[in-house]
Amino acid sequence: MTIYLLLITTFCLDMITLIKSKNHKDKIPYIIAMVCVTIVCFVYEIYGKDFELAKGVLEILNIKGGK
Amino acid sequence: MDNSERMSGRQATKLFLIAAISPLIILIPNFVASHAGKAGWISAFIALGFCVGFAVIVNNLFNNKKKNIINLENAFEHAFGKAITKGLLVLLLVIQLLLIAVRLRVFTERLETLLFVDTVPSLFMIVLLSAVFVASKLKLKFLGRFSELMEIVLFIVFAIIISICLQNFDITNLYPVITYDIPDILFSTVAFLALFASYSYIFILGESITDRHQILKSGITSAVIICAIGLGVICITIGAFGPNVVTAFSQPFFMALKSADILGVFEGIDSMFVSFWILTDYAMIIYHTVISGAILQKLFKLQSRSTMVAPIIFISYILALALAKNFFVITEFTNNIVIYLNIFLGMVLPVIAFIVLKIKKKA
Repeated sequence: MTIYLLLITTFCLDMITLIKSKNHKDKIPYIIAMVCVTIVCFVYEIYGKDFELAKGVLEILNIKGGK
Repeated sequence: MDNSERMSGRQATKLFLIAAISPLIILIPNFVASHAGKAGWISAFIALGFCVGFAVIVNNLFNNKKKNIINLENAFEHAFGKAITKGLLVLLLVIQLLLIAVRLRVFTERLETLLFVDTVPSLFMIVLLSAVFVASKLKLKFLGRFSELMEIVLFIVFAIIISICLQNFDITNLYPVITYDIPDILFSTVAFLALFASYSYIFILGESITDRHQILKSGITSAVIICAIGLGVICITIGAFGPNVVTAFSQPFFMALKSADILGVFEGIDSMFVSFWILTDYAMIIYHTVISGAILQKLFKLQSRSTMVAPIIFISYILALALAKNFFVITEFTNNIVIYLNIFLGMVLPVIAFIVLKIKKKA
């Protein structure tokens, strides 16, 4: 839950900064990026708790830490 | 460009230098002890040659007579073409995120094992990343000044620490060195090269770097400082405990510091050191966040470098959590994959680009 609160707070702060600085060009890429980040957070919360990226990579490359 | 969004070549190098201190302390003793054993200290001298050579190449690339190479993206574009450059920028972004994630895990692991046992690791990450979020949005001029100030403070602290720890130094742990050690010594320079490879990343912000005539001198100075601190760290860890014990420790430098005590006066200095260590972690994460922001700015043609700081920080946080549960796996992942990726992207690619540009007579 904390992560979503932080996401919302940061999004609001950044949007205020973008509007104040009249940086309209960056608004759409920023919104798309934050939507992607929210989806990643959501997927990690549901499915990713047991996911270990480093271990998986080491296993694929057959290095001792992955076994 | 806004004047406050510029920094000098010297400030850029110093920013890299303070970012390199924290990985140096963690990576060098274990890597060198496990590969070269007692002869590990010689690798610092050999690495110095490679690092100075790389600093000279970086200077020739970004400070040549033709003045046609503005930044790293520009160098790649001239050497490899636009399409490949886009791919390389994506790879550079991936390595920056991996470096931030690994550093975050090392940072939380250190606090958990040394100071706050049985605490939720994500708490430390959120606190550190909040501070990084604020700092990474600052103008480059302020980051440059921050690096100049930090450099002085850090080197005074490290000089004191290394001189205190040298009392446990035992020469028999670093001797004898025989000719059969040469291949292992050469291989253990990889750790130094992996650290120095991050130097070229700052030139992704090349258009913001002024006073380029300072790049050569400050690049060579930073190579000398990194190798000197590396040598000091090797001497006080392998010199105090021997290579076999150092390989078994996850934080050998901290153990060496804990065992240091002069007449009871410096007992307990380790907690002060941890706070300085955290400061170097903070600098390292800011360095890579700023570079990631610049890469995203170039990829998506954004107006401002700091726009994408928040998404970078959130992705790094998730990546740090998803990397591994066990710290041993993260160490293996760093020593077997991340450092080689870093050398390839940060050191080998700019050198290839330089050679191609020389052949094309563009540099």
